[in-house]
Amino acid sequence: MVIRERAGKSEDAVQGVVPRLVLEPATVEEATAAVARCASDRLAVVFVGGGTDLGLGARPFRLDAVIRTGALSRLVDHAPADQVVTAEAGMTLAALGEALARQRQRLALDAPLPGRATVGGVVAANAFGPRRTRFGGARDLVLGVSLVRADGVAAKGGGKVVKNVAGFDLPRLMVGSLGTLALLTTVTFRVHPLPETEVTVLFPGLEPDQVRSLAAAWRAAQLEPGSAAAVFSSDRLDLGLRLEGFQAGVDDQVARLLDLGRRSGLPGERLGAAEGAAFWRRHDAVREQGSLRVKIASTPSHLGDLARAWLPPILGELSPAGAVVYPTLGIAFASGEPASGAGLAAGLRAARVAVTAAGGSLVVCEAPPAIRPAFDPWGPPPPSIDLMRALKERFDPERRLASGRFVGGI
Amino acid sequence: MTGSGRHPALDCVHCGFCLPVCPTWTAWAREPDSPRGRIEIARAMLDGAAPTAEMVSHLDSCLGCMACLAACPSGVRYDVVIEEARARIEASGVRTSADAGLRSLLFSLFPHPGRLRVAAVFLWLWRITGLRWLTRALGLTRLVPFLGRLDALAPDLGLAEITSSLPASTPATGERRGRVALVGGCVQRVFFPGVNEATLRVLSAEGYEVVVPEGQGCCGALSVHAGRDEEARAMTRALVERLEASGADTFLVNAAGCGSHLKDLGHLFHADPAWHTRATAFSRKVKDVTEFLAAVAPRAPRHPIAGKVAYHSPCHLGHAQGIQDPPRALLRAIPGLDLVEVAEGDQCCGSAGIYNLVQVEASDELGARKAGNVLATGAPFLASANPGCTLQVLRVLREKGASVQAAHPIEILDASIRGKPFPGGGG
Amino acid sequence: MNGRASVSELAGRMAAVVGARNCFSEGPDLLTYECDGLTHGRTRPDLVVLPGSTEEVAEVVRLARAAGRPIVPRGSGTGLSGGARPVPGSVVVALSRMRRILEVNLEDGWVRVEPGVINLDVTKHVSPAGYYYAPDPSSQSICSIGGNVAFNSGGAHCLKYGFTVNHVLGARVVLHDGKVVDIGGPALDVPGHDLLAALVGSEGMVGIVTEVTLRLLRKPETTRTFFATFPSTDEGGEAVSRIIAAGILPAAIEMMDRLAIVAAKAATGLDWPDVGAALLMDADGPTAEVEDLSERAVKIAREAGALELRLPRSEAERQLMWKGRKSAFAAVGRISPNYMVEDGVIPRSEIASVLREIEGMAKERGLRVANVFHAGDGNLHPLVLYDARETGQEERAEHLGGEILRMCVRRGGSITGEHGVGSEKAAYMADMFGDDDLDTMKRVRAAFDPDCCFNPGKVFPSSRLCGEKPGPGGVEHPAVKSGEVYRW
Repeated sequence: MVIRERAGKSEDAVQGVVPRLVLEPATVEEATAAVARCASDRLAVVFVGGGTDLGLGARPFRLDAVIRTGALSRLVDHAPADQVVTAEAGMTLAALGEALARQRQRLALDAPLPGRATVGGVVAANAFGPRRTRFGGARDLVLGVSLVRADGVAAKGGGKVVKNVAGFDLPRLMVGSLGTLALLTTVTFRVHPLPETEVTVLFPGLEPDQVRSLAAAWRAAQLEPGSAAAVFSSDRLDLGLRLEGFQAGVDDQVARLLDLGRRSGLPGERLGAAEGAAFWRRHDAVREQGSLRVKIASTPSHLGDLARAWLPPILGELSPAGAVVYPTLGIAFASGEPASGAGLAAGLRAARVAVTAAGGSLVVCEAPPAIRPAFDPWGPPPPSIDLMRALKERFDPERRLASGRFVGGI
Repeated sequence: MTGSGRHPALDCVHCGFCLPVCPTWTAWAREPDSPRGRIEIARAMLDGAAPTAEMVSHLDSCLGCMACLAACPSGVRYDVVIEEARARIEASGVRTSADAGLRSLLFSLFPHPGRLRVAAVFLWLWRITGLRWLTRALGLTRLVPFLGRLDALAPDLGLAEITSSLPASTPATGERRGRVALVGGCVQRVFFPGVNEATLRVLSAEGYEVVVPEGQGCCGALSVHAGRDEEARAMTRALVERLEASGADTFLVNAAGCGSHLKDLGHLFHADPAWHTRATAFSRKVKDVTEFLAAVAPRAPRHPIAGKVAYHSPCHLGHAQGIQDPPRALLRAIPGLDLVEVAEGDQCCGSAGIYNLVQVEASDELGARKAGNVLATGAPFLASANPGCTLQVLRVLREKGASVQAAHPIEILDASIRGKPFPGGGG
Repeated sequence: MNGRASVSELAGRMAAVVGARNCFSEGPDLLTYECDGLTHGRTRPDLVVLPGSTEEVAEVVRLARAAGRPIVPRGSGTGLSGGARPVPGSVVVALSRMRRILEVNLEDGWVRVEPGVINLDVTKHVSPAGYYYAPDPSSQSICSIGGNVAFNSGGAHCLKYGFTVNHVLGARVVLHDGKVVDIGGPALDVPGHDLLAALVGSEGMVGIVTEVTLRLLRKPETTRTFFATFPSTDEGGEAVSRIIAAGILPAAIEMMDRLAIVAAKAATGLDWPDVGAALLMDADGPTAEVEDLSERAVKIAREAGALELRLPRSEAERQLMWKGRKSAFAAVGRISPNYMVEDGVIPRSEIASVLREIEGMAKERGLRVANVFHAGDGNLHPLVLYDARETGQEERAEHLGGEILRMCVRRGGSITGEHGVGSEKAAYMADMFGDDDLDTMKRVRAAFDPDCCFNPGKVFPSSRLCGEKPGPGGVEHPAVKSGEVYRW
């Protein structure tokens, strides 16, 4: 077995740290051997998929090698009748989506930059898109993983059926672990049928309270939008709701949503296919662009605080600036280009103090090098940090995987 | 024994479906005080473990409400399990002498209408004179705590009511539709004579001739529920003989505790083949009076009784006999009557035969819960088809200072037929 | 394990914490805690303690640990894999007294409860406001939330709505040293590792949960149920496959075979016909969508060979249909003196052929198997019927159960879809997972509970390694080598 390897170059850098060595395994066996080699040579290593979330987390303490999974990109198994798919970790969301679409199915995990984002990376970074509204995030869709531990031992967890509680839940434990515990080599997901149709309804120019009351209204009316996202437009919110499913059900829900809006004095609009796509492109731009991107996670009832108190000090330091709020999740993202490093750090700190006090979190997803030293990307560690440290100790006692990149210096 | 020939305790698959419906598990959340736990204890005794004080306390804490019987998907005969286990305890001599004393006092009193009537007279005297000295003078101090308890439970009675008796035969009004025999009940007869009188009037108005065979003793239900099987068999045999002699082929009961026992005599006589056949045949002819009336077309016109009536479902009617709809249907058919359900309606009120006299603390806890749920309905009237329940709920309501009027459904029906207001005593 | 306090000494200390009424150390009391919903392999604990608060749980854990006693957490004791089966010398910590619903937040859609709260009581509590708690195990009228968390319980409706793990937002946990830690929270995406993933489904092996924050869902506007009968499970299985392939996501789709139907009828008095298979399907959501979906599904069921289709005329009738399905396990007690419930998963497209294989295997051993299953997700519940009084039947039944599980693994499935591994299936874990897989899982456990004081002997096939010292000659014990046991 010969694993493709080369010397690290500047484009292999993780937050400015260039690795000596880059390993590019093309099979699961090669990937296992690559991690084993790092283990025997005691190399500090970061796993890189499409590199779309390398801005998440801190700069590595140590970095000797990068293992790139881009060549580990095969579809392992798709059983349409069982609605289950297994892909190698380096397969991109777009490639997977194409394969699934041939059987009129999809992975309901619509993370940003699907052309580059890999399934392994999406799981490791807990990346998600607007469909989390209805289908949940990676932890709600992942069924099984195979992985390679820091010591080079390959293992698997979960399974290839939608229902399985045998043993400890390794697949979900990998979600959001940012490569601190193991390298993912394959991931098995539950997939869903492609909807017959989809329609986006837009309620433009809302105040945060109007978004909240509309959300309460559609919940009271027992409507079930597949996606709900509010994109900032100057200081107002353009709320887009995407309904998906069979035609009859979608038409009915669209009509009832518009009716709900009218009754609250909030005229909405059923968008055509092109307009709908344009709205979601605006949404994607916020999630995908900007040299600074932050995520604020709170609860839906804090929507007013998010939009009026927490986001403005950040957005005020960005130009251009954008923000999107998922009203049913209580999560928001802000992005843009910072005007001045000092002002931004202060704005972020002010926002974090308020968010944390309300039980939420503010995490940096991307930041220019100038900002980084002045601001901890994760914020104060949660009360369970000791357990996380213990977990790290059991999986990677030498702390060679994504060294220092995670919460609390893990 | 069940049909399979093995002990019913062995049928339990431990699914736990009985736990949430069990009043004591609901109160304490302790496995040994749940049906599943008691079955385990019974099973241990079956395997030869000698009854201990702990075992006795858990088996005694069972109210016998039989809610678990209705909830069990495996069809475990918990009633048989608990009665048999109690019989083993009674036979083992494990009870402390004080406990055994109170029990034997109760059993020398309750199942005997004659003696109970004497006790009621005594209670009446005790009440009207307030002369506690009398008990002391008569050297009956042993009776004092029990009298206090009975005093709190028993309704206000006049001497005439205590000593009243029922006519041996009541003719049908109008064309005769049939002939039925009425089982008088012990507690019912002494403390709620009005119920029997109302039953006679309603049956007559509906066209039935009613005979009340003389010399009826206790049916044995209280004894069998407490594991005093030998005593129960003797009482049951005597009653069955009396009733059979009446020649009726329908035996009506208006006290749920008696009814559930009389409908299921087979297992009490499982070791006595001749009586087993006779008792089983008898059981088939036993019906609750509401069950009987709901199944026939009403003849007597009903007059309106306006008001909200909360329906209390006695465990021995709802759970043990599975009679849910008939009493409700009879009441709903009364014009103007608004029948409402009590929250946690399937939970026992804590009366449970003699439970409220021997398991005071638990009984109070459950009684308070039931009374609270009754009050929450906002209904000024309560319909309850079991004398024990009525005594219990009224006692707690009285203590809470609430005024709710309670009556047996048959009394309410009687009032409606006679064009009278809501009957019954208040709490 | 030196210096073990005597049982009565420890009982005295425990009683001082939880009250004498809530501490059992006498045989007749202990015997009622010898098993959970799995009745064979009973083991008597030394002590049973029923704490009433987080602080009491923490103190009980500290006392048990100081006395060198293993701790076996227990909820309502309804588990079917022996997950709450005591081990010799253990202290059972039963959480049934901790049953307060602490806080409800409808706008953010969560409720915070104690672990002894009964699953159905959560829904009952929020139902007047139009909300519910989605996971609905068949035992939901009695199983506890703490037990659901430990076993990642599912239920008929998890096909659409997911399992317990998808509905737990946060938890308060008492760890092996008596420390109390909060993980997760009402807000999503707490930075750091997803410790809830490690906790939910850990079968009581990482700590004792004393508070849980659960996600609440708005009730669907409409639920349409239909009941369809088929000549055999072949046609029934085919109907399920076609419904799913048509892009329909039912809320639940359940199948019962002939024997299971007979049992359910005996328990509930339902007037179901004697047929080879019956399907019960729920579609829920906004009315127009649901009507469309259920029409499509009914049409597909007809085309797949349904004999009869029944639509309930009232909510009461619908509930009764479901009661028939949910009572089916225990109802089998009416048609067989003894039975074992298995819980395997297969790819749903193989249902029909797997059922035929099970039938063949049963015939070979002269046993009967009733099948009740969540057809939508391929979760089988074969009920192996036997009579313990007949010599050898119990062994044959156990053997058959094991063979069925191994067949599930061969077909690419799992040895448990929702009942958990517990004591019962630890031996089969090795059929599904290799040593390295199991070793990796043990590391997760060791991060929480390094000395394996919580619920030892469950899940993992080799269980005697905890706390053992390396053998003579300095040879490293395999458990130390693997990282399950650390030498400090």
